[in-house]
Amino acid sequence: MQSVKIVVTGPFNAGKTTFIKSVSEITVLSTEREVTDTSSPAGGETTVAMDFGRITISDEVVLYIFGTPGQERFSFMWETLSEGMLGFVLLVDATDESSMGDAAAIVSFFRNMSSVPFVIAANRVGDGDEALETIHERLGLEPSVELLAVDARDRESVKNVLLALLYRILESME
Amino acid sequence: MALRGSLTDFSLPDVFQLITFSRKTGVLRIRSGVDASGAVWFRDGEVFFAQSNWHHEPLGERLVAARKITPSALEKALGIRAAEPDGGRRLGQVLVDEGYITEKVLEAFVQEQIQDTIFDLMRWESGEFDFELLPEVVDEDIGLTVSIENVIMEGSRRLDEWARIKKKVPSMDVVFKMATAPGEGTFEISLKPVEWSLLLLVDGTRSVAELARATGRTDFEVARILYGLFSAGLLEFAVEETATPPAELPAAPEPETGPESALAEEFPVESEPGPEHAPEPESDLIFLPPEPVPADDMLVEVEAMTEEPPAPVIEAEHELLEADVVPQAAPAPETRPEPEVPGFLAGPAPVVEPTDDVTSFAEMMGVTFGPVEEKSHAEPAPAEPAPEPGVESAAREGTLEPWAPEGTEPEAVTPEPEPQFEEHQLESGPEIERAAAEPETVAELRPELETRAEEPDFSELLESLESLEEPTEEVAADEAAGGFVPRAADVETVVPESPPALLNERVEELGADLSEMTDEIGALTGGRTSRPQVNVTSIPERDQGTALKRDEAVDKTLVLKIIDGLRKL
Repeated sequence: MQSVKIVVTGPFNAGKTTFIKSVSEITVLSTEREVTDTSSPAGGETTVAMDFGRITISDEVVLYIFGTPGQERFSFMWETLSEGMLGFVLLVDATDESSMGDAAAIVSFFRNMSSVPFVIAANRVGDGDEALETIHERLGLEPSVELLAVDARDRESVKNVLLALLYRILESME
Repeated sequence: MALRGSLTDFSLPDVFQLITFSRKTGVLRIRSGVDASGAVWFRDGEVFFAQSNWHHEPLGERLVAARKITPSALEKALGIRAAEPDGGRRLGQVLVDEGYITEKVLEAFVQEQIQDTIFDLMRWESGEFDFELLPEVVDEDIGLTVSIENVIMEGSRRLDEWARIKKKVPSMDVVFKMATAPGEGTFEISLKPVEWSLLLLVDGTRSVAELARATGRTDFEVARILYGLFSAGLLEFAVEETATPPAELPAAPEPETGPESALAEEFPVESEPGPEHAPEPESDLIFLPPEPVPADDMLVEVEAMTEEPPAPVIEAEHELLEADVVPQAAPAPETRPEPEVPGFLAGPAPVVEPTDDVTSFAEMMGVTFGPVEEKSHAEPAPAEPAPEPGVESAAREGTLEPWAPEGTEPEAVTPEPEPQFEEHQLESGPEIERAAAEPETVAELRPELETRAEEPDFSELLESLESLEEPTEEVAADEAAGGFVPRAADVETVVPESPPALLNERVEELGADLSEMTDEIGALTGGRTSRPQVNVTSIPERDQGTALKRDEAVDKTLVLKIIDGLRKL
């Protein structure tokens, strides 16, 4: 059985756990706790260790998806979770401008830590292209970095993001 | 004619399916060992009630824990319930009638209670079952119906997680202690009250099973919490304790027998013992807040603790929390269906220098504790404080658990003197053939369950990463060059030996196979067994090079396969 690993990262409350749950065939193993930061609009729970999802591609291949905790104080987990990954998805919340700085720091961290391909997925996008362009600018990314809109709750939408990443990975191998 | 058999021959889901398909009404009693028993009630093949004497959390406590009702509301409802004549309203109905909860909330929690009970029963790999037909629905029937398919699926989902949790909590006899190097100790972490209370009970002597008993929670809940705490680096294995044979662990409290015991099981204690009966803490300090501390207040912040060392408070909290979680009569079955302890853990007890967990906690938090009596890990864990008999019986009389069966199937929870399974044991005959043939849904379900049981988990991932370079000095140098350099303050700190390194040392002494120790972290880091020694605040600079490489075992062909498979998903 060949296994392949992809990491989903992004700022706190970007929707990473939902993203993985949408496409995973198993109950996502998630170590979460209730949010105690009352200043945050997030509410609910946040991941403190990792999310873990799985997609069985065939009898021979299985795709593992790991979600990182979003808060930087758990960044010691990022390196661990990223070892051996084929690529990563940076998930950002398009409606949360305040998280763009964190997103930029995270993508910088990952790009410096590993040279694997990645794509940016913008969750909760409102006005499509315009919002995407804004995000691109806010993250300070070069135009070649692919940025897609995604609905983390929608399986097909999540699949499209993963496929875009896989194409990037394929390109990098060529 | 009763349906009887052994769980080694027929799994519980098989028996459930048989009863469901034959649309029987009756009670299925399951017994494992001499003191663990449970029962599931069926109405026309559908489950409407379940209970066991293994681990169970009374409805009232569940509602309080979920903050659906306040402890005072529960107390009032219990008072009303106690004043009811025999056969009066159950606690749940009282709570609804008094307006504390809605019918919907009640049903949800009772269903959860039933599912938790059945899930516990489904984990029993050995034991005997006995289905007795009942002519009509009994008193336990409150009109609720639980789909057996959903129960089995929920159990399977949990088992799926359980299989993963077992990677880090391989046995209910495993003992954890506070980590000596929890993620460099530079981050703050907030815990839920339940996690906090459990963390305080982790002292390097209590096994997972004992923690479950002490907190009154299920093994699954406790193992899941410990998994999270372990994953976050707050806990590590207490090596010397895991090597202790389980038989030497303190025995679980024996269930009482006789009518009083049966009554106690039917009417579990709902309220906590009064403060006058709580064991007095050894410390003179009694700073324990009377109400559960909000999660916000439990923020473990290193700086704050350093400025104002709260060690005595923690000590007092620890003592009192232990007192608060007096275990209920939660007998452990002799043949508890636990995953086997890895060989290296079950070996002869190694000679390990005792460590002081409180001191470890202090080191972790950077605070100084007062004099702490040194505990020897060679000694058995201290016995849990138990309520005095008088208190217990008084509590029982005054605090009834209405959702437990009343007066109708006492034998469901009271071990019978002698097993009666010989006469009609299903070792052969049409019933066996019927079950062995497996209804279609069972046949469909089984491969799924087997797949889950055998799923590769992280070992597969490890295999895929084995081709990667082992961590070498070069890698270490890369990491150093990659910016994962502790700050000067951290460099000056004497970093304790990492837990895996200590474990490795013990394994080498025992001559055990290191591969047995593989866990997710090891798998994810390509076989590296040490926890990441990364400073949280140090992000590598752009020109410092990359420390991580992709899985080189993956080629274009494989990626194309994945793309194709994902498209078809």
